[in-house]
Amino acid sequence: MGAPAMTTGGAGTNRSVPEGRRAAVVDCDVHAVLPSARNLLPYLDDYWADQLVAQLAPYYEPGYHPPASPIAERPGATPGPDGRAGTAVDALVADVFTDGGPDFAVLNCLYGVQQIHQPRREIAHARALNDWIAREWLDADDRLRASIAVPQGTPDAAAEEIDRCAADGRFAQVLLLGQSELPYGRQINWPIWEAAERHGLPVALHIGGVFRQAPTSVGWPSTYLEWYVGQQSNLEAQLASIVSEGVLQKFPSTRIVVSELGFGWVPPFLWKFDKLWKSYRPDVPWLTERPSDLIRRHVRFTTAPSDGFEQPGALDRLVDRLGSQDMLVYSSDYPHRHHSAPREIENGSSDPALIDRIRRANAFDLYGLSVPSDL
Amino acid sequence: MTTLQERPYTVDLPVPRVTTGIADVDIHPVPPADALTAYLPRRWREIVREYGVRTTNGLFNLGEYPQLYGGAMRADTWPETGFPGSDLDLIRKQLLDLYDVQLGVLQCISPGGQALNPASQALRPELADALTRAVNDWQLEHLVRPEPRLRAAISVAFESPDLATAEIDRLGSHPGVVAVLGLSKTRDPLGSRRYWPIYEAMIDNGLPMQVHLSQGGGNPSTGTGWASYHTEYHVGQVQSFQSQLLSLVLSGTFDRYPELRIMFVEGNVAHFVPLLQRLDYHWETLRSEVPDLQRKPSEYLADHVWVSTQPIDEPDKPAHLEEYIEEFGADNVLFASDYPHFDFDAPNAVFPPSFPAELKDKILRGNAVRFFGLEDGA
Repeated sequence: MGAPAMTTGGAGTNRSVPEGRRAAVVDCDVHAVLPSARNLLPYLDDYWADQLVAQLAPYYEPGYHPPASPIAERPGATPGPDGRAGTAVDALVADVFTDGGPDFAVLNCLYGVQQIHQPRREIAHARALNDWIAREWLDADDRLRASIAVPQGTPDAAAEEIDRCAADGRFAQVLLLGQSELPYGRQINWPIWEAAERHGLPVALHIGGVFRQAPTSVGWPSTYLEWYVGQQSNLEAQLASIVSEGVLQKFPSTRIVVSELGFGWVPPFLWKFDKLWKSYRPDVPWLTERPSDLIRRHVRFTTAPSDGFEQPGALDRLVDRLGSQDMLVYSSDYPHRHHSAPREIENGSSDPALIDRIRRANAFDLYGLSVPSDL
Repeated sequence: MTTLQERPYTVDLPVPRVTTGIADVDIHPVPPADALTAYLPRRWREIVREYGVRTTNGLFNLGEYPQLYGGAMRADTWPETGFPGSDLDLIRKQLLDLYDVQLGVLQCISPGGQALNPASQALRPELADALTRAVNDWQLEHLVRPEPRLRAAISVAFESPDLATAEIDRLGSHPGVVAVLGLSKTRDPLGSRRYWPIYEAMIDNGLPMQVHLSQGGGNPSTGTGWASYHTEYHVGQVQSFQSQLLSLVLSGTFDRYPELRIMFVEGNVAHFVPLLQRLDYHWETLRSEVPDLQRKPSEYLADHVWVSTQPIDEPDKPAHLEEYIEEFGADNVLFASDYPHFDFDAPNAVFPPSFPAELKDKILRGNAVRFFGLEDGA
C-alpha cells in the first residue's frame, strides 16, 4: 500500500516523506527496564556513585506493579537474565521487531528517577539513565529510539537535559509522567516546553506519577486497578492546564503524545472544555480558538492499552466522536500485559486507511521516521 | 421561629406526584441573610462570629475558585434583596410554575451566598454538624413546608460519619426529605470504609444520596495539583466524579450495600461511558486484585448509579448526546436545571431537536418517579 498523503493536521510539522522512502511503522511505547540501580554506576560521577553505593543502591521501582509480576509481563515476553522482561536489549528487540512488526520502537524507561525527592540526585540519575539507554540500548540496535527522562521537579535542569540529549538524534521525545507536582501548563514548567519545541521533540505524557499528593482529587485509591484506570482523569487535568495556561500559544510547535492512558475519554472531555471555554473566554483571553481544535492539532494518543476499542466498529465510532483521524498512534506497551494483544485494535475499524494512518502517517507526523519504500 | 433541633417531625406532606410535569433534581436555595442564625445554638453563633467557619481552603466565605461573573447566577434571578435562590416566590415563578416542576430537589450548597462554601465542609466537626442542621431546618420550614413541590436533599457533616448518621436518623423520616446531599470533593474516595456508616443510615431511612459537584474537601483540585484558571478548574469537575465512581465500584461498597443508590449531580453524563468501558477492560486482566467483586464493574450501574443532565453535554454532532445517554443507561439519567445558576438548563430548550421524545420523557419524568419511589404516589 502506498503512503497516504502526508498533509496531516499536526502542529509545527511540514515534513514530507523523502523520495524513495515511506513513513515508518512506529511502536510509540515500549518499555526498557533498568535491571538494578547499580547499572547506573558507570554513568554517575564519583560523588553520586559513592552516594549510591553508600545507600546500598536503592532501586526506585515505581509502585505500579512488583518486578516481574504477571501483570507487568505479557505471556510470551522473553525474560532477561534476571528473569524480568524488558531488561535485556536482545530479548526486547526479538520480541518487539517480530514479523509484521514495527520499523522503529520508542523506548520509555519508567525507572522512577522523578520520584527522587532530592533534586540534585534526581538530576544526576536522570542523566545517568539517559546515558545508560543511549549506550546499552540505542547503540545495540538502530531501530530503537528513546524518550529523554528529565528531572521534571526542576524544569530548568530538565531543559538542560533535553538540550544535552537532543544532540543525540536517537532521542525522539521527552518523557513526563502523567501525574506531576504542579500541572504541566504552569509557567514554572515552561522551560521544558520551550526546550522540547527548540529541538522539535514531542513530549510524551506517560502514565505514572510523582505521588507528591494524592493521585486523585478525592484522595488515595486503594488498589492498582483503581489507580491505573483513574489516571485518565489526571491527563484531562494536564491537558486542561496546558491549554488554559496558553502553552500551545506560547510554543506553537508543541506536540504531545499521551501514552498508555487510553483515549476513549477524549471526546466528552473536549465537549466539556469547549462549552466552558465559550462561557469563560475572558478568563483565558489568549485562547482564540476552541480547546478541542487546539487539542486535535497538538495532541496524540497511543493505542495500547486499547481499553476495549478492538470491538468491531468501536474504533470507527470513536474517530467519528473525536472528529479527527490524526489523533491515534500505534503502540504495543511491551512488555505490559493487557486483556487484548496490541494489534487487535485493528479489529475496531473497517477502514484500512485509518489503521495505516495510526501505524505510520500519524507517527511520521510526530517523529519524521521513514524507511526505504521497498522495506 | 421554632427550633426543630430535637423535635421529631409530625409534618403532614403529600407524596409528590410527577404526572403531567417534570422533576428537577438540582435547585440551589440560599438562606436570606441571618436566616440561619435563628437555627444555630448560641454557642456556635458566637464561635462563627468571633472565629468564622474554618475550611481546608484557608479563606473565609470564598471557594478556591471564585465565580467569575455575577456570582455565577442567571442575571434575572436576583431578587430585590438577597441572593438568587433566597426568594421562594421567584423560584415558583421562574422555575416551578414556568416549567411545571412537580418535584424539585433542593441542594443548599452555598448557605453563605454566592460562593461554593458548603456548611458540611467546616473543619470543626461539631460546627459542621450545627451548620448543616441549621440549613436543613431552615429549608424544611421556609421552603418545603410552604411549597411542597420542593423537597430537600439534606446536608450532613460528611467527614464525621457519626454526626452525619445522627442527622440522617433525625430527619430521615421527614416526608420533606428525599435524599442526602453529598459533595464530589471529599477527603477520601467515597468507597472508603470510613463513610460506610453513612450509607447504612441512608438505607435504614430509605434515602439515596445526591452527590453534587463541589470545591474544597481537602485535596488539590486535581490529582496532579491545583488548577490555575476558573475555566480549567470547572472543566476538571468531572474528574472528581470519575474517581468517586471507580472507588464506589472497586471498594465493594455496592456489594456490601445492595440498596445503596447514588446520583451524581452536575457531573455530566457522557464521560462515564468510556470510563466504565476502560474499567471493564482492565478489570478483565486485574480482577484477581479485587476477587470479592460480585459483578463486572459496569454491571453495578443500573442498580446503583444515576446521573443528572446539567450541564448538558454538547457534542459537535447532536446525535452523539443521545448515543452516550443510551450507552450509559437511559433509565438512570435525570433532568437537572441548576436554577438559579448561569448555566441553567431549561427543560424545553436543552435537548437538541433530534432528541427522541420517549427518551426525553424518561429523563424529565419517568426516571425520577422510579428513583424517588413515587410510583404509588398517594
